[in-house]
Amino acid sequence: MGPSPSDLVDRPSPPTTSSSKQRRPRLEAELDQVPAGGIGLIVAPAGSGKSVLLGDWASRSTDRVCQVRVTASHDDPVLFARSLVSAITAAAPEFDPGIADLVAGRALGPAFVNRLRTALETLDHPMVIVIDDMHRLDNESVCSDLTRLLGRLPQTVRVFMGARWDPPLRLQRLRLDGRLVELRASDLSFTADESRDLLESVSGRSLTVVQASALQVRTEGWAAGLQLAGISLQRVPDPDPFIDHFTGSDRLIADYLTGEVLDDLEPEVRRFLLSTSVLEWLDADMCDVVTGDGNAAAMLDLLSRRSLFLVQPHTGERLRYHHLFADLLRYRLRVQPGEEQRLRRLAAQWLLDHGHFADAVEQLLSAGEPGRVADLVIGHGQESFERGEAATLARWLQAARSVDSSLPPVMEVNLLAAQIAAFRSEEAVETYRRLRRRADLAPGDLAAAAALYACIGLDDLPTTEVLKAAETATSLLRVAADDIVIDFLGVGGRDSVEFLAECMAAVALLFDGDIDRSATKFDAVCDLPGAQYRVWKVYALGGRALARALAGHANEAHADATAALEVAEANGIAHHHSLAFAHFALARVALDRLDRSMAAHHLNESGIRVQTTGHAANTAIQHLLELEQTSLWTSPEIALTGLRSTRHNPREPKIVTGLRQALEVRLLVAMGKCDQARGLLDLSAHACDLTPQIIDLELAVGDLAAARDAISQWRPQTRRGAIEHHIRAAAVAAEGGARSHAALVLHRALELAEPEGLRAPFVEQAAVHRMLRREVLRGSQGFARSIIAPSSARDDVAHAEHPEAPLTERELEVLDYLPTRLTNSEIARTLFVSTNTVKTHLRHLYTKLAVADRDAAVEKAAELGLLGR
Amino acid sequence: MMSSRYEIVVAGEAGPMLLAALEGFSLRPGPAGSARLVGSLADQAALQAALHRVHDLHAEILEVRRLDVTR
Repeated sequence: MGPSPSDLVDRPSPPTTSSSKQRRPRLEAELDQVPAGGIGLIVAPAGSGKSVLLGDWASRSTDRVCQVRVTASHDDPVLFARSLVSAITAAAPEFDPGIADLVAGRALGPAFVNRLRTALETLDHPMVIVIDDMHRLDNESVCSDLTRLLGRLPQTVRVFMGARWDPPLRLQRLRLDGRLVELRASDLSFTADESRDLLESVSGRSLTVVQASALQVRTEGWAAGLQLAGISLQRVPDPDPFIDHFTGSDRLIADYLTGEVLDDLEPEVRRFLLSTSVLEWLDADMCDVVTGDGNAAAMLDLLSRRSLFLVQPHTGERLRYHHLFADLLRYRLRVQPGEEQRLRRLAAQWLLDHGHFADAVEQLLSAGEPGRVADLVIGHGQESFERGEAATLARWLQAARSVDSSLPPVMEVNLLAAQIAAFRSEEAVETYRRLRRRADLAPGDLAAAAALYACIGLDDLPTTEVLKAAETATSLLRVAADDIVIDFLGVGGRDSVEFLAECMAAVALLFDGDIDRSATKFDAVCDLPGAQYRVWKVYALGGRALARALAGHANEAHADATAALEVAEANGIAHHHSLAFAHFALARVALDRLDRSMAAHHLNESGIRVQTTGHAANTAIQHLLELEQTSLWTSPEIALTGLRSTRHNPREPKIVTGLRQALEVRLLVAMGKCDQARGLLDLSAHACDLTPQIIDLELAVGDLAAARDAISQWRPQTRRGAIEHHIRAAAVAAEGGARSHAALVLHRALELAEPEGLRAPFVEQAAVHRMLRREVLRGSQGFARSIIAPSSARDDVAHAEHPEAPLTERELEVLDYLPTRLTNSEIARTLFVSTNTVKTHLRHLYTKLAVADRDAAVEKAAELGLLGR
Repeated sequence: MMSSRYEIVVAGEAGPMLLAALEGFSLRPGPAGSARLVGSLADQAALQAALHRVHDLHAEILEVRRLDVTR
């Protein structure tokens, strides 16, 4: 047994270096020049003292400071946003952490960037945001979103970044505007005087100007070199021979000095340093497991006293080695083959045992253990998947793949699932093709792969491909034994594969415009055992809701969509992108019912989720619903401009084409541009879906015979179709002078529409809209009146059709705080609940009160006498 | 996978650390006052990473050249 660490501590050691001794006023003054809304960027090699400078400068700042250190995991935009927002929230508790839920899947996305900017603007005290190790952020979309944020930073904020090499941010404009202060390697290199201070402080001895200058020249003022030289000088009796030898050597500074320092250390200290150099952060217990020596606490204390390689942690940061020195130590460690891998496996086990899953995976990847990484990802996949961190899973699996390209099929299927869940459609298509080429796939593997591939149908895989893949999956399931269907990401397995295949087939039918069959298929999907899993249930209910909403079954659609929202809410996945369909359905219902505020609310909610996925089909549907909203409540002209200013995807599904053309013809007819409408209809390959628009056009140009002809051939398939059919029949009868018949048919249309609350179809037909207006003027009440004056009828609607659900005690409690200036998080603290819980209550409150925001809720609550009970 | 052989010339004398940073590279005779290292890298990303590691050692990179293409 060697000497105990306490013996070692007793040896002469220099005074502890506190960062105050290495302060660099020259550089701190430069950083002071960064204006409000500006950026400080430090680009210099490892070991130049970037982090120390940033830390020292920030500690002196009177602004609030938050810090993010970029790691490899931040390649996932969701994780980067969460780190950034939680750092800001830690420094500014009034900040809403929920913003991170707005992140788009593949990028930060405009919703997140805009909300973040707004939230920063309203900070009541200036803030400094430090982002260190920026060079590690190489996700292009994240960088370009960050560039947009940095380009227009609010005056409340200054951002400081440290990087080893230039990060891919476009900063030229900031440079020209004088809003960028840059420090580079030459600025950071120590001058002769600074070098002397540093050397003296680290070595604990005084040096002559000549001695210090010689070392400064040899190290080129590189902080790490000076630091190592200072450590070496701690123990030599006479500095001159050391300095002569070092300055005379041609070897790399790092190589020479690390050798000097390590050779000079006691063997047990050297062994401890080398063994623990594989750790990303240091914990005495973990160090003991890795070294097997049981003396870690004392060793760490010793290293800290001798200022050996450790970074002084900021508050809340973990103790760790300086990155560069850890690298240097690891290079030494590699002299013993296999040792680094062995130590990393030990570290991984400790990390796993202590719940540091992500860190454990990184260690196993570095240890070259792709098989174990795969097992872990599968075991922990579900949690990450539901937290929207699939991109991280994909990165791990891809890294595992790059270590060992002959991975078992199970891993490839998991990679495919992670890529799909991370909305990386192109990469997923690649992976699927690779899987199909393999000869070693069992039917269960292939079924899982095909069902996953069908999911790309939500993006822009043609519906024929989707149906084919779904069919492949379903038929393979018949021959695959239960136990060999891959449980990808922990959410797979036979039931899930069956569910995904059937659900995507239903989506494909919906996208093909076959609403009726789609709704029937969704009925079956909702009854599948796989639909018990909460995320799938949200999909199935949302999909069925959308099909029903499009078919005109507003009540059922509303019930399904609300159920989907409740399932998501109850399971803590309310931000999940799978709710896009449910919000589409609710937006469609609100548009149909002429409920302006609910339409706005749900289009906002669906918009956030559509941005998250970036899926082509959903993006198109979102856009069309928004244009319909514009045409109803803003102006047809603006809606038409919006419609024509977007390029449409040649591979867009039929339903999008149909909805787009129907809207365009309707807008053109409404604006009296009948020639253009005719031209569009002549070109259209989907004219069968456009019968109501054709009839409106014929009526608008006065061709009654053509309109009658079109009506007689029209066999509507859905309730919406039946209502629209009656509306056109009434219009044709009215134009033909058959007044009383027209009134009768219109009455029938109203009867059909009233139970579902479908008002918009009556507004869309000009002649019918006029007829209704006359009737209401003559004193007609009820549903007809609510179509002509929807806003004044909203209360009737709420009471007659959707009697308000009573507010719960907790909701009333939250309601009491709404008229105050308290933020959501402040209300949460007052009520001893989480901010998310408050937001849940607010959402329910808004729905029950049928309002879109807090102000409207206060107004409505006051009206109803709910305040100040 | 297509891998290529590269030559990286660094100022100064190469020690064990530089060789560890450029795993799989070997030292070849080169011009005085510099170290010439030759080895295989999987792709451009691997080359970038290797150059970053050399840069982190505060070694001055004088030259980088692709030597041939091997399968």
